[in-house]
Amino acid sequence: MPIYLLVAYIIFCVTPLGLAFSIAARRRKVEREIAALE
Amino acid sequence: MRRKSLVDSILIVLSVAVFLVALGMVFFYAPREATMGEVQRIFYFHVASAWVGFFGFFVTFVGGVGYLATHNCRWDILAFSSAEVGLVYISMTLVTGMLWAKPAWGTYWTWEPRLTISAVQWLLYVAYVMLRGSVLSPEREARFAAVYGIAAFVTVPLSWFAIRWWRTIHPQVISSEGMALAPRMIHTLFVSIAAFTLVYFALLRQRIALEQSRDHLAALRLHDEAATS
Repeated sequence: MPIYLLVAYIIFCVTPLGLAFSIAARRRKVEREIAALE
Repeated sequence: MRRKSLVDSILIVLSVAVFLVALGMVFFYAPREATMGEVQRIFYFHVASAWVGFFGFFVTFVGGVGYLATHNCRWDILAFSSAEVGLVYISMTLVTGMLWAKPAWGTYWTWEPRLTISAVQWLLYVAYVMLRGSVLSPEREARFAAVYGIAAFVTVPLSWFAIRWWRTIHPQVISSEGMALAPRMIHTLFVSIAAFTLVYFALLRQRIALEQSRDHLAALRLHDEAATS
C-alpha cells in the first residue's frame, strides 16, 4: 500500500477523534470550575 | 437532559458504525483506479472531508445571519462551534490533498486557483477562531463574528466554482453531465460523505455543549463577583 495513502487515512481517522477528545477535555475542565463555584 | 445524552450516544454509535463501513468500502469495495492506482483511494475521504468543511462554514453563515436577525446568543454558539469543526475538516482536506498531489502531480503544492482559494479560506477561518475571545464585550464579539462569518463564506462558492471558471489542474469529478466515476466509486463516495456528515453532527453537538458550559461558567463568575462586591 502506498505510504501516501496510509498516512492520509491515518489522518482521516485520528483527526476527528483528536477533536472529540479535545472538546471532552475542555468540557471537563469547565465543568470542574462550575462545580467549584456552585 | 437524559433525552439529549441518548441522542448524543445514538449519534456517536451511528457515526462510528458508518465511518467503519465507509473505510471498508474504500479499501475492499471501490475498484482500483486505472491511471493513479491505489493512491486514488484518498479521493473518497478527501472529498467527504471537504464537503463537511464547506457545510460547517455554511452553518456558520446561517448562524451569523440568525444572530444578526435575532440577537439570540444560541445562533452565535452554533456559528462558532460549526466554524471550529469545519476548520478541522478543511485542514484535513488540505493536508490529505497535498499527500495525494505529490504522487499524482509530482508536487505537494501548486498555486492554482482552487488551492489558492483553499489556502485563503483556511487562513480566514483560522483568524475567525483565534479572534473569538479577543474582543472584550461578548455582544460586540458575537456581532463582529457574525459579520465575519458571513463575509468569509464567500470562499465556499468561490472554491466550488474555481475549477469551473478558471483553467486548473484540479480534477472536476462532478459536472452538469453527472459524475465521471464507476458506480462502485459513487457508492463509496456517498457512504463516505454520510459518515463524515454524521461525525460532523456528533462533534458539533459536543462543541455546542462545551460553549453552553462556558456561558454558564461566565454567568456564575459574574454572579460571584456581584455577590462579593
